[in-house]
Amino acid sequence: MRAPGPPFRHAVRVLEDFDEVLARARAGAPDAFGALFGDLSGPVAAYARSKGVRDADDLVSDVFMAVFTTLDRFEGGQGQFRSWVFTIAHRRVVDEWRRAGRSPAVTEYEAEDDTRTTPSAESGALQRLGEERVLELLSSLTPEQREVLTLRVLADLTVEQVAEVVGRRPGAVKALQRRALAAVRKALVQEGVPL
Amino acid sequence: MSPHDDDQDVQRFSDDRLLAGEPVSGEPELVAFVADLRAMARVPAPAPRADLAALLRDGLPRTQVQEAVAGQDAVVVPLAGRARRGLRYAAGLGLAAKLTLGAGVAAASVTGAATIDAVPDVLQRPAGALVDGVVDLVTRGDRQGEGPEAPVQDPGPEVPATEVPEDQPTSTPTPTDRPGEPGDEDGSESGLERDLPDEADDAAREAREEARQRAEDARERAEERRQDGSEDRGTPTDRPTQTPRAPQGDPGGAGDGQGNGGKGSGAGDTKGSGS
Repeated sequence: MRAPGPPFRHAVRVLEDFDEVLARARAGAPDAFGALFGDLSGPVAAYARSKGVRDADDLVSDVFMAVFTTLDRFEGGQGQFRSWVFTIAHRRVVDEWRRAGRSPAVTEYEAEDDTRTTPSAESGALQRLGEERVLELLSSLTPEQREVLTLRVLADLTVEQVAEVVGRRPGAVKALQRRALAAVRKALVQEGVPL
Repeated sequence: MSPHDDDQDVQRFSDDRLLAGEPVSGEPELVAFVADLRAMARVPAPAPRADLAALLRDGLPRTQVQEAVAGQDAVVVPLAGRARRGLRYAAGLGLAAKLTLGAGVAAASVTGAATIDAVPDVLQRPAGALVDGVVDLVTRGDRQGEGPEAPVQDPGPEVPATEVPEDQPTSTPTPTDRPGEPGDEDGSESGLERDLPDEADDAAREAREEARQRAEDARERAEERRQDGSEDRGTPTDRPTQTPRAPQGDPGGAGDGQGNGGKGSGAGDTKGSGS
């Protein structure tokens, strides 16, 4: 298990008492649900936004309703739990695409439509600029590259876990990851504009 | 390992470090990109929908969790309570009882085809003859076997007790489908074993009784029809009326009661009427 690192290093926090939290969540304890939701809802929402889901908050609610009502089926530790949650999220996103009858695409970012609140106005403004730029760069990748990159970074999954979520071999995931980073690197160098 | 492979390994290593949020020299843009991508997840938790908010506030009773899990598996197409009970009952039967029940249902279907007036004569006659033959065989077998239980199931003490549990677990859908089943508490399936022979016998007896009843009706109707035909034409016809050559090849019903259907048609009829 990964040791807890500095808060800025990982998108997903590591719950020290995960096993206990999970046991209480299985028993239906609301505070345990809250802990799990607080830990993973942000990354799941970011993942949904990066995949172009319009109503990311609604999808997050869908995902966690499914997670909390099927906890009896889950076996494993914190890493596997994260992987399981993102597997559900991945399937919901695919369902969303199918319902909309379109292929995966990143929705064009509209700052006016972004109603999320952030701790301070200054940090919020800086973060929005960063996210807008990141979403632009992600939209230049293929859907498969974007999938791998977001799951590796936002969900903090290993190559093997990503392979399980997307149903590919680890070698294929590594190749997609390498090409994704190369494409982003190339786009950044060509534009010559630092983030 | 070739220099190319070596380069690739170094690249993979640095990619992993980069994606893990560690500083990688010579890649300031990519490091910044990954940091900003990661920052997307560090926003406050999105507002939960009403149903999720209620769950986060009140929790979920244990039974509700189980119901939700069972519901997602089982309730794809809602079944009426009676149909579900019937399916559950059929699933709980042993192999011999299932075979008998299936045979009974098949016999009832064929008998139905032979007796329902809406079914055209073309189908009714062969079906009726088939039912006659089969029922004769079955009833003869019953008489020889001393009662209806003999061919269905042998619940005597010679049957090893392990045979029923081998069949049972695969046919029982979920443990929650049979709550409060006697004998389940200690993990054994003795309760199921005790219940099965009586249930199987009853089902088999009912199915066979129904099939026999229908067959009797079918035979009576066929007999009446035959008599009506004799009165109308002098002899019953074996042939479907659609056969274009019937007037030439079989003017008077050549296979009538002789076991010769003439060109193979009406073989079932001759069997049935000859018996």
